[in-house]
Amino acid sequence: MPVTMRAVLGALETLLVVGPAVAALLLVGEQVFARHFHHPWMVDWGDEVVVYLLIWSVFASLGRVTAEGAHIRTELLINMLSPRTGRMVEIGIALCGVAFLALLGWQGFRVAQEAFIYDDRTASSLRFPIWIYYAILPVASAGMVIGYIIHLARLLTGQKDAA
Amino acid sequence: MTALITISSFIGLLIAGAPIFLVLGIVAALGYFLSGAPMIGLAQKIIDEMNSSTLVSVPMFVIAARIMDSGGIARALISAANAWVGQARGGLAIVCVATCTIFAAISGSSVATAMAMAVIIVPAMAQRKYPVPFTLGVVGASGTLGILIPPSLPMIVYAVITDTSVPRLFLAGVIPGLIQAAFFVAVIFVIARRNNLPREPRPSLAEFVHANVVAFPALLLPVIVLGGIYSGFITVSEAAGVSAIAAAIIAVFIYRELALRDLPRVIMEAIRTSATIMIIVAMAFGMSHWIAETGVTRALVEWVNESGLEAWQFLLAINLLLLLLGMILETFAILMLTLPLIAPILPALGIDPVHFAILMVVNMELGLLTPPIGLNLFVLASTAKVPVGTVVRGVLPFIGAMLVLLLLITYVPAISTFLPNYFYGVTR
Repeated sequence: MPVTMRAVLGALETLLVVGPAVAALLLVGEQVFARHFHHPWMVDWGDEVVVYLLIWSVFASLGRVTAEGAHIRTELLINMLSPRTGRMVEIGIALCGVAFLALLGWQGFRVAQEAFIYDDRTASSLRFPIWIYYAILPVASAGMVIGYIIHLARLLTGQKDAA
Repeated sequence: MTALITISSFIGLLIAGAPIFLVLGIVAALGYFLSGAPMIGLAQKIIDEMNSSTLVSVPMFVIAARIMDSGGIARALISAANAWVGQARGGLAIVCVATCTIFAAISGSSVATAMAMAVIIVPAMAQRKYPVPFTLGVVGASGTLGILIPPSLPMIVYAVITDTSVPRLFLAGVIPGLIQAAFFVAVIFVIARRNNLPREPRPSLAEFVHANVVAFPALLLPVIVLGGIYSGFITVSEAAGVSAIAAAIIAVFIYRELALRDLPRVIMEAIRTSATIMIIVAMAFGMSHWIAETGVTRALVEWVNESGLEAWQFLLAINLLLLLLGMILETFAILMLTLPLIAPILPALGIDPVHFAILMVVNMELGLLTPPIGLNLFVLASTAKVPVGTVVRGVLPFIGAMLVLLLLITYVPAISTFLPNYFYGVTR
């Protein structure tokens, strides 16, 4: 991948992952300050927005986590296998991952779509459209499918050994 | 047939080394599919259950822990602990236990605690000619205090899954955590005497005062986190956020060991670490919902009621199971794989879920130290560039102490339940 492209993608990832996390932390701090020292700054939607921002931030990072094979797993058996067999098992797992996450992403999309069609909103004064929160499930699933495809490509081209 | 397919898929995927989230997710999807339930229900369940203000304290505590790891906070705490307890025989080892105990009250993660200590105290102990296995054993074992002394990430996840109060759980970890630290100090005393380990020079009054003044901002962090929660000033998730903000301010502007421009990288790493935990929790919600729908949990409870199984027998069996699982699975994997099945049985046997949480956490601590999958062992082996076997030799005496603690906690529930019951009253 060209260096410029890599830099742009890195910056985009920082924006999507770190941006919402920092916004959530600042909102938590502001709400604590407002509750104890300056009531007019209090809002009734603080908690829900903190949750949405952090879940978006965490789920948005899952594509990279998957591509890097950084998920928690037990590697007891795979470490005992020959490199060739280990690679075959890894490929099988990655294919299962692609199939399951494609299914989850599709169902997640339907959940978000229903919320969008019925215009579901939260009960707070913000009346936050809940589909925006739901949309992270298909987005994260798509990210993880791409992550697994990258992982698969590395396995198939021998750029990566089995764990 | 459904049970056979799902159980064999579960075991097959787990043994093959599939990520835990994938194991849980695929089994849940298979369960939904085979039982004819609409698959959209799985997606809906997962995303709805993640909408929890308690659960999002996990990434915020991880951010706080990562900032503390790289921000000079551990160094300041070690200097202060050295001024207080370094003069005993094997002083640096006791300093490590004392620092880990305080650091654990800031960070909710064992690995973060062990990493923070390893970078500073391992070279210091090597310089003073402490045996390498002993050094790594002290750091690895003391690091486990991170998940027992509040705040604790596994306790937050346990609370969300079992609908238990987080402040109650946090309080329940205090006495067992202090007992564990005391046990470790006792082990160190014995080994230090036998090997004639060195004492640290007594600091002058000026040095003593300086070390404590420097550590003061770091010592404020547990006051903010725990004092904030128990005074009712802030909620658990707010405490997590405030501790991350406070850690960033202290690390960047007071200790100046972390540049402002490095914060996005540290937060990114923390979010990725959290993601590996949160995705497992998400899928566990899907699987536990399906398990509950199938009636397996109800059948288990009925079986327990009819079998005449006593609580002590159940706890013994669970301890053995968790110790075994701790050898092959990671902390959060154990929690998520076992809790959906075990939690509904607890009321039938009259076991307090708060007591059970502490028992699980101590088992998880042991899991962090037992090969072949003890995470703390690998962190230390890679930090110190030694074989894992060297670390294992060092942690063995501490594992012995922890097994004694586990027995105490299992059969004397008051060790865990006294503080929460004293402050919040007994729950029925």
